Amino acid sequence: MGGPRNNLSWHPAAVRYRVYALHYEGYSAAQINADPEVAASVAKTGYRLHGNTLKAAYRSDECRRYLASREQTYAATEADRITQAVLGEAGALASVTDVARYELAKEIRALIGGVLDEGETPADRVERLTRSLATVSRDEAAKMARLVEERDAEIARLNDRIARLQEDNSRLRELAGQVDSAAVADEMDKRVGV
Amino acid sequence: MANKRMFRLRRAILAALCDYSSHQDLDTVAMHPAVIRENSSPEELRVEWENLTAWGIIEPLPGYQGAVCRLSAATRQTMDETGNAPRDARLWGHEVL
Repeated sequence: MGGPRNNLSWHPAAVRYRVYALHYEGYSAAQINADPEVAASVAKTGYRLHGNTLKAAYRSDECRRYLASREQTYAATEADRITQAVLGEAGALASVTDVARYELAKEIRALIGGVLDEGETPADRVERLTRSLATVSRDEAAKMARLVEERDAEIARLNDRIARLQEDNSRLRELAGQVDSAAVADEMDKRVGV
Repeated sequence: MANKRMFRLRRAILAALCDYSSHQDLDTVAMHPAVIRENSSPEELRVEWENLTAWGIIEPLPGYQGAVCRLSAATRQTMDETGNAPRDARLWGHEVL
């Protein structure tokens, strides 16, 4: 069953959330009533938003859920921004895996939001964050090691090819020294009359 | 049959994801003010999340069973350039065509 209704509950959802947003941003009742969207809705519905009406609205489940969502979204966007900045400064933005980046942002978000899992102390959380950062570094190191290995293999392959070409070259030089020019000229004379 | 509320919910998911530079999980997106405003049930939200994934408008992070996604490169580009979701009938209805 729904709780007691206040005047705000008769306004459309878009206007109700506009009121909650203005409240979250610190606007007073008078400023909220002066907002063009709110004023238009009051004029249309006839349900006025007095100070007591707004106070009751701020205690509603809907408003509490909205304010909690703003706080959580703030923590999540801040964590995202910090992750980007940290990885950017470390020069690892392009090289860390998406999973490592997501996990790191999640840890930072939990720290900002002060949300700890049951039975977890702040020390545990810091340890997890450190482990998460180590994963990022490990991913980066592993990627670099793979790159070095690939380059080494490429260099070995090219060296091998150079050695083979040098061998072929020496063989050709040897053969060129064995050619009897007079015999070639006689043969050409015989075949094409040159 | 998709109705206007569903289109709004799909666009709200995109607006929420647009606030993050990389992947984000459905639980966090569900708490975004743009999504909260739609008063959708968790089931509705999951269905639309999965639809957007299936259409390639958002892309999942492997290993999280589709619960962590980000905007696809094309969607991100459109939203960065226009500030709005792509002009797609699945996001705006057939009126957009």
